[in-house]
Amino acid sequence: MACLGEHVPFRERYAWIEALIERRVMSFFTRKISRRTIMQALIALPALSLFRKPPAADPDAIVEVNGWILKRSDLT
Amino acid sequence: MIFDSYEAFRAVNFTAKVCVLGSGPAGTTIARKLGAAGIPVVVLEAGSREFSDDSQDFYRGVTVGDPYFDLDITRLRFMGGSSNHWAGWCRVLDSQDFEPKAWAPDTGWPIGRADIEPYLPEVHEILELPDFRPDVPISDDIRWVQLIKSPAVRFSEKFADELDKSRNVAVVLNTYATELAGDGKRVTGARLWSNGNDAGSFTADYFVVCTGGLENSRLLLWSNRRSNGGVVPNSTALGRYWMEHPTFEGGNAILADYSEFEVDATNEAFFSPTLAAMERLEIMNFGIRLIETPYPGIKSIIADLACTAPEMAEWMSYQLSQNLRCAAQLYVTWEQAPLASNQILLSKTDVDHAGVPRIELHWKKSELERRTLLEGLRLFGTTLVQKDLGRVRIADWLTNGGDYPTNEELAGHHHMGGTRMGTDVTKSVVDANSKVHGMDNLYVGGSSVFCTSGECNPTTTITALACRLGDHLGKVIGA
Repeated sequence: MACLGEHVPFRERYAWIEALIERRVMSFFTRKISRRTIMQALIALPALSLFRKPPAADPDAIVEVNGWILKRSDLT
Repeated sequence: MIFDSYEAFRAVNFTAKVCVLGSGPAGTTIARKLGAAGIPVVVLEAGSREFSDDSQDFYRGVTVGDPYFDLDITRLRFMGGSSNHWAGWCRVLDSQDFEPKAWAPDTGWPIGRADIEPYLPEVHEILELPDFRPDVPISDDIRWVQLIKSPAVRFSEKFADELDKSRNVAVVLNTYATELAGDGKRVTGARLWSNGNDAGSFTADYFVVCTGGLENSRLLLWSNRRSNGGVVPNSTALGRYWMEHPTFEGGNAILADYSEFEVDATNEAFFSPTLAAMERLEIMNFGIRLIETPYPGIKSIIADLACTAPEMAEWMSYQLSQNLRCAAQLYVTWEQAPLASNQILLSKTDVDHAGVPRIELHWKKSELERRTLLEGLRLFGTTLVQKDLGRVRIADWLTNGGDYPTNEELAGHHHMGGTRMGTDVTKSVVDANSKVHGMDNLYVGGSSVFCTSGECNPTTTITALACRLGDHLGKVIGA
């Protein structure tokens, strides 16, 4: 701990407050949300990409559907 | 001169230098060429001037493998041979048809298209053909090709008068060469059967077998057996690599504008792959025949499309109302991969009235051909889409891997191979001049010498090869 009158950088001076807040916030999460739930959320993250807008399909691409040779745009 | 029996011919003491067996397109063409060159030639025709059931009965046989036509129906045994039921469709094998294909074993001819080109003007005169227009590439993969539907020359009708007046050509009807005798170097004579009886033997300096794409193999197989290998000394390939042009309806097309292609008098147009497409997909040659669909057929096609692409179906309905000629059936004819297992054998149990074993034809389509059919339709469909010319639907039996339909054309009545041309004596029967390997005086004419079949009807190429063989023999004999 620094003495009075000594120059101490701002961040170090209040580091104890920061640590206190962090402990309180983390304890809030660990009390309200189980570790298992957090893990499940992390595992589910890649699935979110499914909700991303897919790249636009080439409307001129050739597709074969039910024996028909078509342009993709024929199917819209 | 035309004689109705061997007895009548024998009475005139005509000494022939060359004996041609068979009076179909190949036999008649070779005889006319030799006659015009001043070489005396006799043509022995097993049948008479007209069709008869008794004569056709000699052609009965059995087929083992895929369904095929009755062997006494698919060819004709009378003067003019199978030209008497020929539809007259003409096209010459393409240059690429003569080339070996790395992906298809035993392909490639010992001659090229350039070797028969000089004879095409003669062929056009014989078959009464206009000039062919060049192929039109409609994409990198598909060519719009021309298949001329000629007046279907009946060789007996067209040339009977000329042959009758000829001093150098004697046509002897009702005279069946049941076997050739040979000593491993030369044919020494032919055993004859005329008007239902053994007619003794006949000899000439040269023999040319032109009895048809099935019968050539039968005659040589039987002759070789009777002469202990003295007629075809290298007989490994004899009867083998037999080919047809299988033909099936492979799907339908709806065209944006049917008049995009100049169709022939029966509203048909023809398409084939480029060599590059065949190489890329490793498939054989094929021909797609676009035939105008009757109106009720169009409605069912559009109803089917409506389930898959409703807007497209709506557009096509509009086209239909604008132009009643916008839909077509797609018939595909393809080149068979030459296989040694597709072969003509002599029956072990059945003989004809003259005692010659009948044919047992072993014939089966291969997986490569199935792929050719399917990929060919895909290529054509893709080209129509890319060029916005229309849309193609491939038949269900093809996309589902079903069996070939049994209620369709099956094939073209084109009998090819069996005495194929080549340099390897284990894989061919005749050399580049159609002379049987190892024999000095035995030649073969007709589509049995084809190494590969291409996709087009064979008569034009048969006639060109016959002109070439007639020319060659004339030079050999004249030398």
